[in-house]
Amino acid sequence: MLKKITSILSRTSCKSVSEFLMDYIEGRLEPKTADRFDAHINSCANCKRYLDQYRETVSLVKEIPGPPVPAELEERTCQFINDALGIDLDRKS
Amino acid sequence: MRVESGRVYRCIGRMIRDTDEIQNLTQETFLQAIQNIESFRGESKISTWLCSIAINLARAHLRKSKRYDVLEESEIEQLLPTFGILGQGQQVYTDWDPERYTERNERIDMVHAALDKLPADYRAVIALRDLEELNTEEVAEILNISEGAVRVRLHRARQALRVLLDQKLAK
Repeated sequence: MLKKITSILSRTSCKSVSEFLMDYIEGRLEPKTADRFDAHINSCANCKRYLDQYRETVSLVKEIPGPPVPAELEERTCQFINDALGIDLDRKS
Repeated sequence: MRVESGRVYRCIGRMIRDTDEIQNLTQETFLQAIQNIESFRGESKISTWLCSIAINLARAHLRKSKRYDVLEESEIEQLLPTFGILGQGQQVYTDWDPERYTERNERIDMVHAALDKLPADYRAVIALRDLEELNTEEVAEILNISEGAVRVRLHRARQALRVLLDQKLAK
């Protein structure tokens, strides 16, 4: 009985997978721990789906393009500072 | 200045979408930098220091802005997975339907809408780590938190985003 309980407790759980998912994806886990994660994910359809969706979330976020920088940004910023501080900021500096 | 102003603009633009506000906050960033130049000790790169000012201004702007329907920290907690006594997951996840996000523009709008719901601190870590692709050390320096805290916050932000996207994409 005690053996069975110890065996259950030593398995990688869905909770561990969730907590260390980022380390797992980035390959930061110890090889033995990563193997246990692999084993759990291969046998737990729910965790596998969660892992896939987590990866998909990151990849969807990374698809967002950066805002186009307006051509007149530097000039406007210099003008703003000049007006605020009463100085003549050299744009090239 | 050209390179740095572009970088600052992009950094703020990862948090805020109104172009006038991005421009205003970029100008304010440089003004604050000049006014506080004696606090820059050269321990970090000038770009990191400017980005730190910019992100702080963007976070403050988001916190006082009424334009975004942002989730509270306690609501973020509720989006995180829960587990039984033996660590077994208590949620059942359903597959996502790829048909629901075939159009790129629709996909980007959907992700923007989900990001808009994240509290400013979570949005900042996603902006710097996942969008600007800075490393954890740089993000920690910009946000003035530990590298461990960056990783925890990023993971929670991604988990919360997954749920928000799931509401749109689940079959």
